[in-house]
Amino acid sequence: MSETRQAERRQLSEAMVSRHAGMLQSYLTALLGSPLLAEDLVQDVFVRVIQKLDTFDPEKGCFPVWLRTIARNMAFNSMRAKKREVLIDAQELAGIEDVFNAMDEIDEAEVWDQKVAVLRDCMSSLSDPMSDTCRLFYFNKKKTAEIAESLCVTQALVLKRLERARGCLRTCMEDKLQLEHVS
Amino acid sequence: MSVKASNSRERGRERAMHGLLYAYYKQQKPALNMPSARQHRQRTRAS
Repeated sequence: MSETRQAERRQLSEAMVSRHAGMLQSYLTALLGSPLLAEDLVQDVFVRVIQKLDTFDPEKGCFPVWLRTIARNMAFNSMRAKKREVLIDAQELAGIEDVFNAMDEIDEAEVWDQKVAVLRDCMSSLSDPMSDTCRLFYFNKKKTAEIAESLCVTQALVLKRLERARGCLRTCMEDKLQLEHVS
Repeated sequence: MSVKASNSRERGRERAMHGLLYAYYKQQKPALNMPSARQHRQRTRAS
């Protein structure tokens, strides 16, 4: 490969990583349940994507979807290699794809961080207990047992609040992203 | 769509929220010692 071609490829790769790393991290976290597992995989995904860049055909679909397909396959293979399973059925996977495909379509925001900011309005729909629990779990990275102790509630209640918060946010985001409610 | 399938799809969308929530709070990182929702409302009312 000529030096010019290598430089172009490197520039394209850097632009791609910068533009899609956040989305990929969120997607893999949704798939695997753990941001740490997701983080381990993101770099490997980009290495693979750069190797396969010439195989991307824009007529067959858009780039983020292609990227997520590669990421999904690598996630499943990675878990299989560790003798672990990603517990997800086809409909659950479709649900994850619904949200990420809709996020791709947000015209007003090109950068992933701007797209995620759409969540801000929905956060205000959460009750104080749900909001505080989310903050402790997602921002302070506390374990559910620690949260239970600090809030003087049971661990079961902490898990229920997190589940309800995700349910409220799902409903709100379905409206914002104009996703058909599933019934 | 059956009830079971629609519940599964909802669960999938909620898993997506799990991924988005990490990204959302990661953006808040520079703000150290985030107030609780109640503290935030009290401060907003006071100002």
